[in-house]
Order: sequence, then C-alpha cells, then structure tokens
Amino acid sequence: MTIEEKIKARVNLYAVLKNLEQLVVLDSEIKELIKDWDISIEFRVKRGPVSSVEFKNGNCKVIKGKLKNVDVVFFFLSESHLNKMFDGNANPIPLRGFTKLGFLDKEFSKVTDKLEYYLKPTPELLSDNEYQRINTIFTLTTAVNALPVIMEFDPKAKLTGTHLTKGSLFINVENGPKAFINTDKNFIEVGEGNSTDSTCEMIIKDINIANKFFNGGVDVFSALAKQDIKIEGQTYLLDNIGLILDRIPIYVN
Amino acid sequence: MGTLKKTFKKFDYKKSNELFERAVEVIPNGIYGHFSPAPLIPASAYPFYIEKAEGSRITDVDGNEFIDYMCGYGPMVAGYKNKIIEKAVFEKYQKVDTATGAPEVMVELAEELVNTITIADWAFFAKNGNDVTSYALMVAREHTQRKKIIRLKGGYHGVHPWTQSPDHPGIIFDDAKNIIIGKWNDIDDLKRIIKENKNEIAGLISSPYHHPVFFDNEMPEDGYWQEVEKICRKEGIVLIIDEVRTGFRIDMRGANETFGFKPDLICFSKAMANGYPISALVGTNEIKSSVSKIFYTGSFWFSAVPMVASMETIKYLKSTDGVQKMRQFGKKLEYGLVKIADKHGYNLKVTGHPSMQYYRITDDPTLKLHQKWCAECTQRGAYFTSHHNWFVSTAHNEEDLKLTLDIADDAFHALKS
Repeated sequence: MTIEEKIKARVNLYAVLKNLEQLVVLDSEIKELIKDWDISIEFRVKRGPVSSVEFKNGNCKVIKGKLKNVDVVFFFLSESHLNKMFDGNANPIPLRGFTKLGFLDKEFSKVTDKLEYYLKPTPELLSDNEYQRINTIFTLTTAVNALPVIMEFDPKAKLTGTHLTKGSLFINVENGPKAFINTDKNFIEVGEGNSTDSTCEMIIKDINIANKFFNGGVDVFSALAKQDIKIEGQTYLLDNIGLILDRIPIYVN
Repeated sequence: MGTLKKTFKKFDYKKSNELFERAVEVIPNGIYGHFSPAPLIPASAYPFYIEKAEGSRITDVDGNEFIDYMCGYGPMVAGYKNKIIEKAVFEKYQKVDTATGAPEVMVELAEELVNTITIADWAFFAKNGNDVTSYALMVAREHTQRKKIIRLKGGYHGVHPWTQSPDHPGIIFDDAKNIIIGKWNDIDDLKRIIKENKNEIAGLISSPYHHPVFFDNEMPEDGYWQEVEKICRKEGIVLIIDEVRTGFRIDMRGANETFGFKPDLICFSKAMANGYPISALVGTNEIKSSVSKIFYTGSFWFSAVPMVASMETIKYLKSTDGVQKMRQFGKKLEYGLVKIADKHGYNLKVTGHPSMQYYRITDDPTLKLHQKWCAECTQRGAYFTSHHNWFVSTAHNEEDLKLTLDIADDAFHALKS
C-alpha cells in the first residue's frame, strides 16, 4: 500500500466525511431528509482506519474509530478499495445491517451525492453566494481535519511536525467559518469555532477571499499586502502549518 | 513640570501599494525573500518600495521618511551615500567595474582583510553571503575528505538547499543528507553528534552568537566557544564562523576575538561594502591549499566597484572607530526605549549585540502587542521590524535618537487608545 493511498483513505474518513456534520445543518434539503434518521454507519478498512457516522435527532456526528452497537458496517479490503469507493468506482462490502442496505442505497446516497456536489465546485456554482459559503466551510473543514493525517504519514509533513511548538492558530473568516489548530511538537489538534487563546491569527476579510484562498486562487503575498488576509502573533506557527497544508493537494483532489 | 507629548501623523503608502499590485502580475510574490510583505505585521504599516536613502534615513516612493533600523537588513553600516565611500566608488566606476580580468583593488582588498581580521591569511571574494557559506562547506569537505556538516538549529546561513529544512518547498531530503542539526550553546549535544559520526564531520558552521528570528538572541555561554574550538581541533573538524550578519559590527578583527576563540574560516558579506554587493571567505594558511583546489567563481565576482566600496568601508569603520560608535548608539537606544516602555507599563526585553539588537515586548508572549508597537513606530517614521534583530549604523545620530524616542512614546500611547 502506497503512502498516497494510506493518506488519501484517512483524509477521506477523517476530513471529508467530517463535512457531513455541517451538511445536515446547512443544506435544507438534507436537513429535511435526515431529520428522523436514527442510524449509525461504520466505515472500516481491513487492518486500517475506521470512522463512524451517526445520524440521530436531526444531527450528524462523525467520529474517528468505532461506535458501540453500530447499525451498519461497511468493510473495505484496503485503503485503495475505500478510496475507489469515494471516487465512485467501487462498492463497500456490507458486514452488518443487511436490512438497511436498500435504505442506504436510496437515501444515504442522496447525502453523499450532496456532499460531493459541495466539494467539487465549478466557477458557475461558486457564483452562487450560498454555494460559495458552504463550499468555503467544507474546504476549511477538510483542510484542518486533514492536517493530523498528513503530519502522521507524509514524510515532509512528518518532519515539519518535529518543528512545531506549543501554540494555537486561529483561522478566522470574517462573517464566515472559524477553525483553530492547537500544536505542540509532533502534535496537531483541530476544532471548529472561535478560539480565545490563540497565539497566532489568520484573519480573512470575507467568504469570497477565503474561498479563493482555500482553493489556491489567491496570491497570498498580494492578499497580505492588500490586507485581504491579515496575520499576527507567532506567525512562525503559521509558516509550519502552511507547509503541511501545502501537502494536502497531493492527496486530495 | 511635565513635558508635552509629541504626536505624529501616520504614514500612507498609496504608491507603494499600487506598485505592489503591478508587481504581483509580473514578479512571483511581488517582492520575494526577506523583503516580502509576509513577515511585516501588519503589512499595511510598512512601505514596500524605497525611492532614496541617505545617512540613516530612507524615503519611500510615497515620500515618507524613516529612520532606518534595518539598514537594508545589514548591508548599510556607514550611512547611505557615505560621502567618503561614494567618492572612491565614483572614481573607480569611471575607470572600470566588470571587465576581462581581475582589478588591482582585489589584491589591495585581500591585503586589507588579512591585515584587519586576525585569523585571515587569505581572502576569497564572491557576491552574496550564501556564496561563501556554501564555499566554506566545500572547503571543509575538501580539507578533511569528510562529508558531514553540523549547523545549529535556528541559525541562518542563506537559502541554498543545504541551509534549508527538507520540508520546505523545492528542497528534497537528499539536500540535507549530510547536514546534522545541533543545538546552540550545548556542548553535550555537540559531543553526542561527533560521537555518533566519528571521523565523518567535515565542518561546523555557526554564527558567533545566536540571532534567530522571532526569538530572543543568545550570547555564547562562558567557555562555550573555547570548548567548541578545542573539540574541533581534536576531532579534525573545520570551524566555520558565519559573520554575514555580524561582520564589522561587533569587532573589526572578527567577532571571534570578542568571544575569545579562533575559527578556521569566516564568512563575510552584508556590511563589508556599505551596501555594494560583495562577500568574502577568509581563512588560515593551513586550509589555503584546499581552497585553491576548488573551482568556484561567478560572472560578477571580480567587479571592481564593490571591492573599492569594501576597501573604503573597512578603512572608514577603522578610522572612525565605527564599531564602538554603533555600540554606543545601540546602548543609548536600548536605554531610551526600555525607559519609555517602562513608563507606559511595558517590559521591553533587549538581546543581542548593541549594534544589532533584538527587541521584544514580553508582556504578550504571542508577539501581537510587540507587532502592533513596531507597526505604530514604523508608521510614524522609525522603521522597526518585529521578527528580526534591528541594525544601527555609524550614521545614526543624536537627532535620530531623540526623534526615535518621541516616536516610540507616541506609539506606546497609541497602543492604549
């Protein structure tokens, strides 16, 4: 198994799937669809990563690892198998929850299709403000949740991990999503929302700039000069996290 | 009786910003490297383009004048457009600069360096600091017939692949294959590295004191350099001192004389020609034959004008006791700024040599407060960076000092408003 496949599988499980939590809140169609769902699904790779998704009381929770008494288990023979499923080129092997397969095939696929829709922007789609907002939120969520995975497996990012020091980076999109990244040597912990004790801040002027920045469409130096993006505090922390973030496109389309 | 508080109008950088917008269209990052806006926090507080420079002052394209506490990040040491240096430069410029063959002044400059720097038996010239730090590694490897080099964490020796961490863009793990990262002021760590790489270490490269960015600068502990020298001699390791930043600001004889040790090779650039592009590797006779074997050159390494500028800069610094002058100004600046900070209830910590100190307001460990203060000062005409040590020159004078302290005072007021 290549490092690329290992990383991609974990990014899919721990970072891409994580967006389901916000999808059920932000998309009214999906919100309506899942409001009465009470189902948990485990994605398990043979001798590999596991992630679980639980829909309950109109909410969605995505956790790293297993849930107790899970309803459905989707098994994958390898990381490569899982990645093919995420690319739409393979099916999982159901190990548990055979009675729910019809429901999953019909209903759950609507959720994953919508997730894919928001994660694969086109210029036309991005011209819609609401689409752009959701795409920005999802891109940020995917990026920050991919960080620990990239640092664990990517050889360059692994080295960057050894240079990390104790600190906290707060990414603040004004009138938009916020995320924080707590660091220490070989340690990254991420979360969404406000940070009160950041040692370094990146403040992005608005959703439009954030969207372009997260999708690689902004010249960072120009944005800094124009103050479309402001940074302050222990910016060496941002330098290091930036090195890891730069590795994500190698593994995520 | 109280004194009246002087207030300053904050600068505007309209033209600088317009130029930068044009620049990003045709130059990667607009301005790259150490002059890029990235470490200037916030970038909106700093000018990007400079129109003219004279004495201790720079004037940007918007007409804002600053007392320059970065001195071009080190090269300016005797004042911009220093009349004595410029006169000699102009005279040489009218005769020759780059031509087919080496200029006479090359010999004179080498003699001047040999007579000035105590360990120097010879001098080799190039353009930038990194030209000679990289050359020093080649020399150490040739001299010892070994491959590994020790450099210290947080030390800066340029941008060539060996100087960077392999996790940086454009650098591969093979670039760092024979580079071992040690720790400053840590003899035990050095002994461990040498033990683990017995008879494999060609050289150790370090600045004479530790001047990283973002962090307090550190002087060598008592006996540190003497022990390092002893170990290097015993193990046959070439001791290389990178004085690209410190050269001719701490000690004309070499900073090693201040700290009491003798390296084998010293790298100079920045201040050695008051802004003209030249660098030098100097070393001892024991190593000279190894130097001679290595083919190393560049199209502009024999240009006469920078050599004349260097000759005149070194003579000027010697004749005016420039190092002492910069030290005294640095101490006065430190005293004044610390006192003003204290008056406003802040603790301004100062580390490093007085001619190139690193300042940091310790009340906020995240550096945000310090960044705000440096930005407020810059926008009032005292160009302070928050991440890097500052530099002073022999051109900085009492008038600059008074104005700087007034600016600093007003900037501290602004932090509270």
